[in-house]
Amino acid sequence: MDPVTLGVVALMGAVATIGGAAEDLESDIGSQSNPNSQVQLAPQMGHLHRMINKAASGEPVAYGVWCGVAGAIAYLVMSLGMMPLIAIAMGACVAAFVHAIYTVTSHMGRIVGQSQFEQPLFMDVLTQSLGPIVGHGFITSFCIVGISYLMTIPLNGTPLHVFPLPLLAMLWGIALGAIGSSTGDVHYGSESEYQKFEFGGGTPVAIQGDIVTKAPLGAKNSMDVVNFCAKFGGPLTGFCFGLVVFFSFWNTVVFGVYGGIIVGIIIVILLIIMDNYLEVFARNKYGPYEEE
Amino acid sequence: MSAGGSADGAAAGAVSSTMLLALGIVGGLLCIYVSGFLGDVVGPVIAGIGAVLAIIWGADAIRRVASYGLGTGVPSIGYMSLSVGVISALAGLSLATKLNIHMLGPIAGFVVAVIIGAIIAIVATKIVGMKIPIMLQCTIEIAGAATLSILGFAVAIAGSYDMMVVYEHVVATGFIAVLFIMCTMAIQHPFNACLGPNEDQLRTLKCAASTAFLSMTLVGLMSVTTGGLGWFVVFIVGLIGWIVSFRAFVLASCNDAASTKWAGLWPKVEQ
Amino acid sequence: MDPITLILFIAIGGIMIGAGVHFIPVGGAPAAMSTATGVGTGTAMLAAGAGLTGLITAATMTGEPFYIIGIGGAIGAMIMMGITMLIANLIYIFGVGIVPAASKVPVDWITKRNQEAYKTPGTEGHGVPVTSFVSGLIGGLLGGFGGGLVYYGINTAVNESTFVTDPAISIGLAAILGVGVFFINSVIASYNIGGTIEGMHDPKFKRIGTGALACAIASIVVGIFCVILTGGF
Repeated sequence: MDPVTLGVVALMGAVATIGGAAEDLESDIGSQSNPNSQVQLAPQMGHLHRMINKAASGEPVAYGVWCGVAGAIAYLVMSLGMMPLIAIAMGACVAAFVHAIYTVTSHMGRIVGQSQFEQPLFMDVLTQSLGPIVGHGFITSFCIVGISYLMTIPLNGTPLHVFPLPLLAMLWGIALGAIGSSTGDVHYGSESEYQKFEFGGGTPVAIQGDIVTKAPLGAKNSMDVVNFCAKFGGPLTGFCFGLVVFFSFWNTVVFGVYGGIIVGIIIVILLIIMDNYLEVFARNKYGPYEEE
Repeated sequence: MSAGGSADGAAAGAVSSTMLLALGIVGGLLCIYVSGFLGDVVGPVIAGIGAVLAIIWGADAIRRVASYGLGTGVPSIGYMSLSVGVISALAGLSLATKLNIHMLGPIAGFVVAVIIGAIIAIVATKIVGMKIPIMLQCTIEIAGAATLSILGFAVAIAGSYDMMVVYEHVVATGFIAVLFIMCTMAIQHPFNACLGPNEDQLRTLKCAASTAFLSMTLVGLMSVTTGGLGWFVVFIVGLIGWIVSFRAFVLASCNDAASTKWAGLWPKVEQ
Repeated sequence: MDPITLILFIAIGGIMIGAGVHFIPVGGAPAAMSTATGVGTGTAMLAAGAGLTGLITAATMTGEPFYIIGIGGAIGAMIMMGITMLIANLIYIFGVGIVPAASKVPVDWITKRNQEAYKTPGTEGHGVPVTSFVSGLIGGLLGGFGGGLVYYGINTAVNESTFVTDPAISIGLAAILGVGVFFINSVIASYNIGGTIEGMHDPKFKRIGTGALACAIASIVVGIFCVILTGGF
């Protein structure tokens, strides 16, 4: 075990946590991925809204693109001799620009694609949400390219990973998108969109599309969503991605190849036990579903 | 699964798909071949334009097949076909080097894509049992478009369709992964973004042109270290193409929307 | 590495990836609204996320024998799946206030706990119950191991051929082809299950044979072209 490498792995975990949280919050503002099916369905069910309807592919491919582009530009700028930190920031800037354009095309395309339901195209919704979307996207791609860069620099002679920077950034972007869309988005889809229904139950098929469209003051917009999700879904997503990045390297760095495999299996068994404990806790605390 | 209201059944359009197919194959291949004779300033631009044509063709093919509802959302067929595309593009270039016929590369890649695409589509319809009548044709088309777009951009970066040059400048640096995911996005995004009962082929194609030119702009940036002045020309041509097509898309969207507003609430509608 | 071995590596890897997708509990968009059991994302998406994490960890073992690379990938994918499902359950339980419950079976296969009573009426279950959780881990194991095998096969074949001498190129080739083979098989498998599945207790799981056969044929064809690509035929 070498303390410098271990420190770098810990730093990677911390950076990944920030990036993961920003990724989930971005997808909440932009209403990307699965919960977006409800925003898409709402006008059809007679509930017009002032939300962003961004369907820039699923999150994994989208984040693969933003992070891959950021990684490629950062790699190029570094090969021209620029300082890595500035190079990564430049890459993330270009990625943020690409992100903004894809956001505009998907929001406009989806809203106009259902014009027969009288859903207006609100330009102010787009302009006010674009900044936060791109900002969070910038943080995410900066963090992802950052951890990918940390993996490729030689520490004590050998880098943590053999892949080139753009490839690593793309792979981590896809992994992060998959994690963000399967954890944090649940908070948006199940709770934020259906806040007017009672807490403590799933969303029955019958009420789908009946999303919350009004806020305490005026219409609900995507900023209200991120205020809500930043309190639980976003941080947990970040925590999740941070753990995944950390445990992808920690066991082999500390215990070597063979020891790392055994430790990895122990971690997996611990995860099963924790999940079982969590389920038992929920069943005892909440009890069976009771209809009013 | 994206819950879209798109009608089940073949999607009709103002622009004939045969014309786009011809434009994609002939235009794409021709541009890649011609770029080899034009030196390092004009060559990359022509190769990039070939990739743009292929992406527009691929987006139209996605539009036709995804109108049927695939059950797993629009993007899935996109990245399956792009995976075929990236394997075929590299296999084609290697085959040409192996046989020592340098000129064979792009065509061989295209043929390999058609073969793999056809077998995957036959597996999907005959064994898995997908009931989409145009699955075979569209998978082949998307895989072909994917190969040509990746090849076009790879040639724009490397400056040649010689295997070693492409491997050195595109594969070893990891740019191939970025090309792969960027072309996936560019090909599947237009239909996915415009999905809905009022989707319109012309608007979708305008969106396709804008995503394709945006990718070309990025490819221009990515070839900074390999080409001489070529990267700048690719960048500028991509940027101009993007501005024109993006403007056309935004104007068409504002025109076709139920109403375009800068403030206020939605209108009252009867349930 | 001779061509037949390479094709075998890619075909077995492809079958494992395709079979693994059938184990991963995904409910698609309805699960993100707590209307269906499973993780709230698309099949191919989650499989890709887990498999590519596995590919990253497998590649850190570059230079080891094939089973170590495979196990390395499997561990990476399992840890990714496990943490993701655990955190998803945390959000289902504390953010949405529901108890994980399956809808396709009345009692959980492993824990024998009643599911019906804990399910919200009008939904097809919600959350990730223990059987689905274990099923997801098996999916990660198979997917990660398969991805590792494909990576190992191509990397070794390119290294041994006289075609390419630079190790950076062989690693790049192996990685992008690993990603390609992964995406092709995971999409075919997700077509086979129609986009959603609850895990190994779902009746749709019986289609795993069909899915594996489809993935085997597709992988063999891809494998043949990978032989050309790595310079031998």
